[in-house]
Amino acid sequence: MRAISFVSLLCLFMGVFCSSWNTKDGVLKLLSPTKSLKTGSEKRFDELNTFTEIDSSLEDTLVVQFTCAIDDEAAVPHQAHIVFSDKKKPSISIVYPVKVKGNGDAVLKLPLSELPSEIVQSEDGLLSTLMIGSFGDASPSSISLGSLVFDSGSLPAFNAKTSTEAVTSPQPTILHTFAAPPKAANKFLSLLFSLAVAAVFVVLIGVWMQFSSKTSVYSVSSSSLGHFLFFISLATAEGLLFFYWTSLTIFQFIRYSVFILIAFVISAKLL
Amino acid sequence: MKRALCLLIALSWSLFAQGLHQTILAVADHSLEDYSTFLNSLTENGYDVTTANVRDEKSQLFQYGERMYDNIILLSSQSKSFGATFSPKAILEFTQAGGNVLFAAGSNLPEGIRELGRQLDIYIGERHSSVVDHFHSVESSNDESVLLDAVSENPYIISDETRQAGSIVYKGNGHYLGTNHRAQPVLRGHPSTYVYNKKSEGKVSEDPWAAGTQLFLVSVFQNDAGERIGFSGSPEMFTNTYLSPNSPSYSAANALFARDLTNWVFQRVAVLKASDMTYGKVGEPYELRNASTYRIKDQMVFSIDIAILNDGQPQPYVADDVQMELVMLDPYYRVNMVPVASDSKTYQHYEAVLTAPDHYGVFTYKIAYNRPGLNPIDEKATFTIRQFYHNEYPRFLPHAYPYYVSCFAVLGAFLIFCGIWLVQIPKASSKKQK
Repeated sequence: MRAISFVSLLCLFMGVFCSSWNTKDGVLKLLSPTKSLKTGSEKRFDELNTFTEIDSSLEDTLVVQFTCAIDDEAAVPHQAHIVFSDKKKPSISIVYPVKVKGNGDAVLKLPLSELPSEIVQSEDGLLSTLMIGSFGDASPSSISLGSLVFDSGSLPAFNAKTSTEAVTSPQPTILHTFAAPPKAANKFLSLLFSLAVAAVFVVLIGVWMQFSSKTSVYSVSSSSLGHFLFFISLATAEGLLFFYWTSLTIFQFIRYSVFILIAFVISAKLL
Repeated sequence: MKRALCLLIALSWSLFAQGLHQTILAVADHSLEDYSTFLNSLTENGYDVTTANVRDEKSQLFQYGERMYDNIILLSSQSKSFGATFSPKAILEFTQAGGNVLFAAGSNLPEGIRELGRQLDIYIGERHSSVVDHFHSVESSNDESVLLDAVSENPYIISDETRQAGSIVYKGNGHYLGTNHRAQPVLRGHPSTYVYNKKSEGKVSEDPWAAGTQLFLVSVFQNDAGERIGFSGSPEMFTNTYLSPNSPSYSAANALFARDLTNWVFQRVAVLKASDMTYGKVGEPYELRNASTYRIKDQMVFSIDIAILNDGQPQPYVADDVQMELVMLDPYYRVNMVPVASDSKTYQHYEAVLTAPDHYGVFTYKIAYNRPGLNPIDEKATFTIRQFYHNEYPRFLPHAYPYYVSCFAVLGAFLIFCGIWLVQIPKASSKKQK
């Protein structure tokens, strides 16, 4: 145990000379839907880095082939995973384990349509990384395989929020739309017709005055108390009708009407 | 008399103190001595901790139908079963009765714990599974003690102090989460972290249970009533090895993480309390609010007070995303409530001013506030909105002016006619009189 710890400690300071996992003959390529190699898509691992962009489509199949080795000697690691992660949100990622044969050869054939919809929506592309590691002293290795960039026009529409976001974020604002107010009348026309009615009233009074002077004589002094009381009662009744129309309740109207009725009866007796 | 008074005061004080004190039952299927630092820190934090073995008779969750403890800690490292007392059903009943649970189970977890996890949408790795990271591990640990720093960014669960304290040492099992929004990750793996089954995948990991950033090591669950459950796949992270300052493997990050996790799970922090939900007309006295009926197009004000408890102390909870709804089958309004300045130091007053809709019926004033890390608020009040009474419509309409004038014209003409008729003497009779 002490010897192993010493070796590990030594490797920390002499990293170049310690064993580490690496790959031989690593190749990445894209196959079109017809299983033929897409032009210009085949790249060796040493041609790939974080900034390499690989134009892809969801109809393509990604093929990654390599041989695992410790210092150029073929070996089988415990972990050979390819990680696809969103460049801007590294926490959104998915891992695909690669099957490694006994001679260290490994191949991953991944139809890109199998990638989760949420991850392919990434505007900056998917960062691809090959992780090789195992128990023991050999240092693990992380190899960048470039970025898969999808044409945003070819991606299916993806609008769904995650279940957590849908429930735990503010909902859209809703404001009630009130019904339109009733149409207002044309005030000018209303006043015009009101004047027309008032004019008719004036004409009526005028006609009465014309006829009445020919048929009768008018004498207020010859009127009796009965006449006077009757006229006042009538005027009061009409006034009460006006107030009932504007402000009084039916019960108030009936209460006040009783007094006017009494006045009418007295005036009728006097007439 | 004096003696009786002293007794009364002592009794009142003990009842008051009991209300503040939170009780914890810590049970394990192995010795709890190795967790002494963790349990002592809980005691120093004001908890009343009772320890027991899972098979002890005194380790009961209920007595006479009443919950015996406020919180339980379950630590498992070797058993295949926790027995009927701590079955998944019993633990869920405990949480439904208002209790909180923190359970930690590593590679040799009981099947009951896995079943409990499934019910919470937490899918724990199989028995004999272990988390491994060849890129971020403690030296000479065979890569099974992993250094993790991807803690939850939710400030209500993990404090900034913990987030800046460095990597957390973790050795145990892992899990992945389903789509239930109530389950949230607190500690997640690196892209290079994965779970493998030691027995079946000892040589090559071809089908890891979970891997990468979708592999979670510590997760929490909060139900709709606000009760909380925390799960860690590593009981070791609570042991003296990492929490005791005297230990050579002491990790300050682990100590702070354990503190934050227990504070949140046991509802010491991030607990919202809503009170004084009122509604009424603008300008109405407070005593007349919450009436049963209002009228359409009334200017109404809706209010609520919200406090957040930290260490049991209420403080104003200030946010700009508290929404209220006015619902009758569908929401007529959904608006943000505005925090209103007040003198209170224990709650924040929120208000929203709206015009009552022009539909009559039974409406519900509803606040459903659910944010990650905070317990949900779900408050409702119901009232009726009526139509205008007959004497609440406009009395005089411009449309009807000609009719008003014609009515008055008839009244006036009749009065004039009666007056003239009363004072007139026909000319024929006046000549006769002459």
